[in-house]
Amino acid sequence: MPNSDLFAWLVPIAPLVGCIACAILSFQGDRKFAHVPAILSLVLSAVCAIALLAMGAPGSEGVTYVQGYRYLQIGGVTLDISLRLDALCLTLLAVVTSISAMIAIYSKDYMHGDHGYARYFAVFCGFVFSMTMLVLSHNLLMLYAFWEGVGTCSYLLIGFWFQRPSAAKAATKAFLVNRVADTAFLLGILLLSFAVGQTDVGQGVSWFARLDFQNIFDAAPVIAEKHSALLTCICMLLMIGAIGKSAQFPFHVWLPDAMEGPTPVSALIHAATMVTAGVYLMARLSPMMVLTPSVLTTVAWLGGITSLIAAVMALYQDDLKRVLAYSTVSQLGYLFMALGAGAVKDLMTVAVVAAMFHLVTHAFFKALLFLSAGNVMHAMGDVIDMRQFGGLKRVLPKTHLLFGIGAAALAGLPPLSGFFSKDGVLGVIAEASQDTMIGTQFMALLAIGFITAFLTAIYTSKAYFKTFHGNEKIPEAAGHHAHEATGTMLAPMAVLAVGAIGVGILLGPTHWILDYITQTPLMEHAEHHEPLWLLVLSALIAAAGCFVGYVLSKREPSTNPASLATRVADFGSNRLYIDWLYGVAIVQPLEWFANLLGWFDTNIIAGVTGWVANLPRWIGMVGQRVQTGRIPAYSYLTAVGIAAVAIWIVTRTNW
Amino acid sequence: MNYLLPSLILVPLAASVVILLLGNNRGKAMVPVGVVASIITLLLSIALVFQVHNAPAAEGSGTIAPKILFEPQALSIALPISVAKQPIQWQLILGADGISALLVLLTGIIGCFTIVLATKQIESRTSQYIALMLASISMLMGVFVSMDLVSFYVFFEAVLIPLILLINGWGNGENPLSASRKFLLFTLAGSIPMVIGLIALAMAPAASGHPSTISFMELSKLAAETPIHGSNWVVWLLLLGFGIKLAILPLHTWLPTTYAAAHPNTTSLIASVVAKLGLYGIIRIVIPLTSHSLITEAQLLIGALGAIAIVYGALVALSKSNLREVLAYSSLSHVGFITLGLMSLNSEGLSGATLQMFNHGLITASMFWILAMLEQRRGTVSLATENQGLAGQYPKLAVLLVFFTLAGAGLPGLNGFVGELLAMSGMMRVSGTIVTIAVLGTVLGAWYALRIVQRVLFGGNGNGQNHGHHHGHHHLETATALDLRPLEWLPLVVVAFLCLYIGVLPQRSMKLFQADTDRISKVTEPAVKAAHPNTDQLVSK
Repeated sequence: MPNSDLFAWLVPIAPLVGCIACAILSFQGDRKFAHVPAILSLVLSAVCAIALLAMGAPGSEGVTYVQGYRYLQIGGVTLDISLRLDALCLTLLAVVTSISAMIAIYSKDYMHGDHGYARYFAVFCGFVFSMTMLVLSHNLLMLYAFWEGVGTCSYLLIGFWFQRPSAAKAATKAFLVNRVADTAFLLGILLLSFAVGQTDVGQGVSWFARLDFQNIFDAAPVIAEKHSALLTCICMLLMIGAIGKSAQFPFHVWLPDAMEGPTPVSALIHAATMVTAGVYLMARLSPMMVLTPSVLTTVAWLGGITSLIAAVMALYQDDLKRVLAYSTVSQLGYLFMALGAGAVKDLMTVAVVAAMFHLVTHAFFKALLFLSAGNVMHAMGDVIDMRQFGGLKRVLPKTHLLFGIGAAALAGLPPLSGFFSKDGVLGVIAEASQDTMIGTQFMALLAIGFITAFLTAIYTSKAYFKTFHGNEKIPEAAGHHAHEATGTMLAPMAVLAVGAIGVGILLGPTHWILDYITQTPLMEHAEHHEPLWLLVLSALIAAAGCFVGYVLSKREPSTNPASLATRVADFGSNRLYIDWLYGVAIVQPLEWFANLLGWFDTNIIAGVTGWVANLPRWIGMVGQRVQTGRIPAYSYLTAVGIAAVAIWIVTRTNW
Repeated sequence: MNYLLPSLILVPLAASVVILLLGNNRGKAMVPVGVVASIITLLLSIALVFQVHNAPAAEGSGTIAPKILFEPQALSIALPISVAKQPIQWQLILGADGISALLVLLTGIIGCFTIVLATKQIESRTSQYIALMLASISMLMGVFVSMDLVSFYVFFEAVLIPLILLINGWGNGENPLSASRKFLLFTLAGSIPMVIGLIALAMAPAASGHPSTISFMELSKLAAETPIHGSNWVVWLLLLGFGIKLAILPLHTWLPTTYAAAHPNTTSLIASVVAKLGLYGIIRIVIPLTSHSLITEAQLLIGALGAIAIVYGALVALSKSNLREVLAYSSLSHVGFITLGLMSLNSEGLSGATLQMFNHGLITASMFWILAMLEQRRGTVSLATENQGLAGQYPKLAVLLVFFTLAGAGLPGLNGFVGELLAMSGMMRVSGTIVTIAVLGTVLGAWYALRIVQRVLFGGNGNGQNHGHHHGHHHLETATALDLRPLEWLPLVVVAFLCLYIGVLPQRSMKLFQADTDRISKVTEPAVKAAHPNTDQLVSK
C-alpha cells in the first residue's frame, strides 16, 4: 500500500501545519480566521487516520514502519524519528483525531471573540500533533518526548486564561504533578535501555535503538529470567509514569483543577485523549508488563482505589465540570483495573482489549458530556455551580437531550455504549477472579467495580436531574439571553452522541474490536465470553443507581453539621483531604527545606568562604603598607606569589 | 595558516581600543562602531564554524587535533624557565576543532546580541561599556582558540580585567564593588592552583624523557601514549582552578553575588560564556591531558558534585525571591548537568555535555536579556508578589519568557532536552545513583521555572502596582508600558529558532564536534571500564 506511508505522515503533519499557521495568525492578533486552518488540518488528519484504520491491519506481520529522519547519531547510537503502525495504535489514532476534529469545530463558536482565539487553536493543533506522534511512536524514548509535548500543551491550555490566578495555579500544579511521575518514567526508560543492553538482543544495538518496542519485547523475557527484580523495578517506574498522565491515585490531584481551562479543552485533553495516554502506554508495553504480574496487580489496585474514591468525590461536587472531572478519574481507574487483570495467566490480551474498548466508548460519551456542560456554561454566563441553576430543559432542549444520552451512556444503561464497554471491564475482572493464585484479590476488585458502577450511576443521574429538571432557575450572570447553543456547536455534538449510542453495540457484541486489536503483534487471539449474569446484574445496578440519583437530586442536602451524612459530604467535597495532605506533607516541607538551604547558602557557605577570603586582609592588618586597596597591586602580588611557587616547583630536585 | 583565527581575537580588540581612545566618555557617537565590530565578529565566528565543519578530518594520534591551525613562526619565544636543563620554547598556536568552533560561535552570538541590546539597556557611558564588552569577547575568543598552555592561561586570566570593570562600573544591583572584589578574589584564588597545575603539565614530558612542549596536540599525544604520567595532585590543582570558575558546589558563592550585582545585560555574557570557561578547561585540558588521574581519583566525586549541584541549585532557587538570584541558582543547577556529562567520560556523555554548553549558553543568556528588559520596565522583578500578570501587558515578552523557561526545563523538541538526556544516559553507564539524583533535580527545576511564569506573568492583567524598587533608571517611566520593540525581540527570536533547530535536528549540530569528542572518549572509555569494573554492568558482579 504505497498510500499508507503518505497517510501515516499526514496524520501528525497536518495538525503541525495547522499549529504553525495559527501561531502566525496569533502574532497578527487574529480573532476571526484561526479556526479555518485548524479545522481543515484536523479534519484532514482524521480522514487519513480513519482511512488507515479502514485499510485493515498493516503489513504482513501486523506492523509497518514508516521512515522519517535521523534524530541522533552518537558513535553507534542512533535514534530515528519514524512511525510504527499496528492495530493497537490505529484504534486510538482514529479516536483521537476524529474527536479532536469534532471538538475543533465546536470550539469555533465556543471561543468566539476571545482575545486568545488564534493562540487557542495553535496550542490545540500542537496538542493533536504531539498526541498523534505519541501514539505512532516506534520507540519508547520518542514516545516520552511527545509525552512531554502533550503535557506542555495541556499546561498551556489549562493556563489559557492566565489572568485568572486559579488557572495559573492549576496549570502549574498539573505540570508539576505530571513531572514527578515523568521523572520515574524517565528513570525507567534509562534503566530499561541499560537492561536491554545486558541481553543478547542489546548486543551491537545502540543505546536508543534498544528502546524500540520490538527490541524491548525481544529482550524482556531474557531480563525477566536473569534479573526479575530489575524488570519489576523498571515496569514499576514506567507504570508510575502512566498513572501520572492518567491521573490515577496518588497522582489524581491535578485533573480536577485542570478544569480551569476552556471546556472544549477539558473535553478533548482531560477526558477523551491525553489522559488515556497512560492506558495506551500500559497497553503498548503489555508484552513486557505481562512478565511482571506484581506490577499489574499493583496497577489493578491503584485503579480500583482511584475509581472508588473518585466516584465518592464526584458525588459531593457542586461544580458540574468537576463532577465530570472526577468521573473521568474514576473511569480511567476502571481502565487500569482492566489492564491489571492481565496479571492472571493468558488474560493480558483480553484485558488490553477490554481497556481499549472502554477507552474508545468513554472518549465519545465523556467528550459529549463535557461539551454539553460547555453549552450550559455558555448559556449561564460562565456559571457552572449546580446550586445556581436548575430545570434547564426548556431553555436548552437540545443540550438536555445530548447530555441525557451522554449521562445514560456513562451510567451504563443498556443498550448505550457505556453499558457494553463497562461490562467488558467487569467481565475481564470476573474472569481474573477465577484464578487460583490471586483470584481473591480480583474478587475484591470486582466488588469495587460494582460499587463504583452504582456510584457512577448515582452521581450522573443526580447531575442530570439537578441541571435539567425541577424548577427552572437561571443565575444573574446569564442575563436575559440564556439561549441554546449554535448549530456549529450542536452538530459535532450530535456526531459524538451517535458514537455514544452506537459504538458499544457495534464493536462489543460483534467482537469487532477484539478481532481487530488481536492483530497487533504479540497479542495472540484470545477467546472471551461475558457471562449473562454479569450483563443483567450491571444493567440492574445502573438502573438502581439512576433512581437513587434522581431521589438525591430532589432532596436538599442536610445542613445538620453533626450528622454523619454531612461529615461524609464534607470529606468528599474536600477531596478526602488528599490535596491538603500533599501540601502539608510534601510541598511545605520541601519549601521549608529550600528556605533552609537558601539561608545556609547565604550565611554558612558564603560566610565561611568569605572568612577565608578575608584572611589576607587580616594578615594585611599586620603589614598595612601592602594593603593599598588597589586591584593592580593585588594582582601584582598574586603574580609574584605565583612566580615564587613556580620557581619552587621547578627547582625541586626530586621531580 | 588560517588568518580567521587571529582576526577573531583582533577585530573586537581593535574596535575596543579604537572606541576607548577616540570616543568621549559620555557620548554615544562610537556606539555604531562597536555594534558593527560585534556583527563582524559574529560573522567571523560563523565563518569559522563552516570552515571547521567542512575541513577534512584532522590527522594526529592525540586526543586534541584541531582541524585548522595558525602557527606564526615569528611568535616563538624562549621562556625564561627551563626544565631538566631544557629551555621551554613558547610558540603561539591558535587552532580550532569542533568544540572550539562551537564555543566561538556561542561567544559570537551572545557577544553580538549583548552589545546590540546594550544600546537600549545601558544608559550611561554606553560606548565605554561596549568597548569593554568587545575586549571581553576578544579574550574569550582567545581562550577558545588557544592551543598551547601559555596563551590559554594568558587569555583565561585576561578576561577578568574587562569583566571586573563591567561588573563594578555598570552594576546596578546590591553593592557591585564588593561583588566584583569577591569575583576577583575567587577567580584569582582559582588561578593559583591552576597555574601550578599548568606548569606541572608543561614539565611532565621532560620528566619522562620527551622533548619539552606546551602544545596541546603534543601533550595530548604523549598523554594518550603513556597514560600514566604526572602525579595525581596535578589533576586536583587543575580541578580546583577550573572548578571555581564553573562555580562547582562549595566554591560557588561568587556566582550569585556577582549575578545579583552586575547589570543583567553583563550577566548574560558572564553566565552564558564566562561560566563555560571552567567547563571548557576541563574538556580541553583536564580530560585529555590528565585522564588517568582524573578517572582514578576524581571522576565520581566531581560527577556527584554535579548531580548535587542540580538539586541544590534548584532548591535554593526556589527559596529566592529576586529574579536575578533565582536565575543565578538556576544557572548553577543547569551547569550540574554539563559537569555530569563531562564526568561520564564516554561518547554520549561528552557529546551531550558539549552540546549542552552551547544550549545552556543560549538559554541562560536569553533569560538574563529578558530579565534586563523586565527590569528596565518594572524595576526589580520580585517573586514575592504572586499574580503580577505581566503577560497581559507584555505579550511578546511573555511568549519568549515561557519559551525559554520550557527550553530550560528540558522540554523535548527544544535544545535542552537532547543535551541533558545524553549527559544522563552517559552517566547511567557509570553510576546509576548519580543519575537518580540528577533526575530528581528535573522536578525541582520545573518547579522554580514554572514559579517564575506563574508569579510574574500569570494571574492578573499586569496593571497592578509595581512592588519592586527602582535602581537608578531615569527613563523608567517612559518605557514602562511598552511591549518589546523590534530591536529587542529580534535577537531573542533568532536565539529561539536556534534552540528549536537544535532540538528538532540535533544530529546536524552535533556533527560539528562529534569527531572531536569521540577522539577523547576513544581513550577515556576503556580507561573508565578498567578503573571502575561496574561500568556498563547494571547488576554488579
